[in-house]
Amino acid sequence: MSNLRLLNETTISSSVSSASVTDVFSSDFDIYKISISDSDSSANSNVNLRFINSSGSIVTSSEYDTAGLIALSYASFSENRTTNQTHIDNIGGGGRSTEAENGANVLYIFNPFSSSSYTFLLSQASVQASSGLASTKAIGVLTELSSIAGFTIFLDSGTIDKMKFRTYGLRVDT
Amino acid sequence: MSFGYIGDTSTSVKQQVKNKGILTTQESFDLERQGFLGGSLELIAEQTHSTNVTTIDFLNIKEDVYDVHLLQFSNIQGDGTSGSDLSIRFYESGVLESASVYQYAFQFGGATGTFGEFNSTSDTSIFSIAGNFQNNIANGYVYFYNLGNSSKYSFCTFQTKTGHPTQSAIMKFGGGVLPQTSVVDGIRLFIDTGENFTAFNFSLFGVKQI
Repeated sequence: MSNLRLLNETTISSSVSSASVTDVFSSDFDIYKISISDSDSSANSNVNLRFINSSGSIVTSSEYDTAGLIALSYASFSENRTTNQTHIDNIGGGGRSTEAENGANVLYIFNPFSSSSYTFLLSQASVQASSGLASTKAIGVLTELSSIAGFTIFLDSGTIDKMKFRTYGLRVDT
Repeated sequence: MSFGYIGDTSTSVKQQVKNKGILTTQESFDLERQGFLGGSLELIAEQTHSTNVTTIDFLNIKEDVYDVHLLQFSNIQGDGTSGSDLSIRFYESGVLESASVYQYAFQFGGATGTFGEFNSTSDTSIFSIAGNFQNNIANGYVYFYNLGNSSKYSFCTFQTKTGHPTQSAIMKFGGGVLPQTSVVDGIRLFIDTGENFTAFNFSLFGVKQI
């Protein structure tokens, strides 16, 4: 039997420059699902992610790579590629200043706690931008052999006014 | 059984039995039975083919209970001889919305090599989440978000695969939105050309957010 195990629910209800969830990844699970919902921000902005290592420090080294496709209802689709950056760039979702325009974002994180494997990310999100729908599908990786225990979210500009994180472990029972 | 619980153990965690990281088999059974363990799916409704129909409606979707719904579908077939695109409309407080208010964007890829993008800011439906599946079969899933929330737009994301009359098979992934702050209390599936469904299995789930 396999199932989702809710590990942490964190709610942001006042303005912050970044929102962190710590000590949620462990040796108990290899794969984690994170939902980001109920979002609102002070400005329309991309949403970015950094990992937090098992010592509690935010990883800011230039070892993040990202690739994403932003499917737009109002224009040609755009691609986003970055290498050797200090964060995973534009995971999509949650960066709209009008609350109704924020849809949902689901992330999957692979092998975060293992210090012998890179930490990988999948993201899929939808928001309503100024001109129309923006649906993002992205991948990211931290090319560092460190033990990751959490993550932090921040915007290109503005503050996070509301946001809810639910972190699940994908349980596999034998 | 290797799983445990670490991190925040405050009351913000909706855990019904506090533990030191290990649940007994009985505790797991009790918690799952009560709906407190596992982000599981509740089957809300299922519709399968008995006679040919042009539309399939889900009208009791428990939008007041779930903020995320999952629609799974398989073996979707139509009787048309032209294009067959599976499309979606929403009911807002019981009234079918068919005005040019829907937006969507999706990427598609054909097995014979043609990839591309398709979008609209003013269509009468979330068009062609699967298809063209003329004389073939469509399968896939759709996640719906915030349907019952009157202060939020209603979003969806989807991924599908269908047989295709000229490209052997075609995949699609993307999203759609009804950018209106309304309560969506129903979902309609139809083939845009108005043809009949001659086979279908649709299952609508509520995604439990414990």
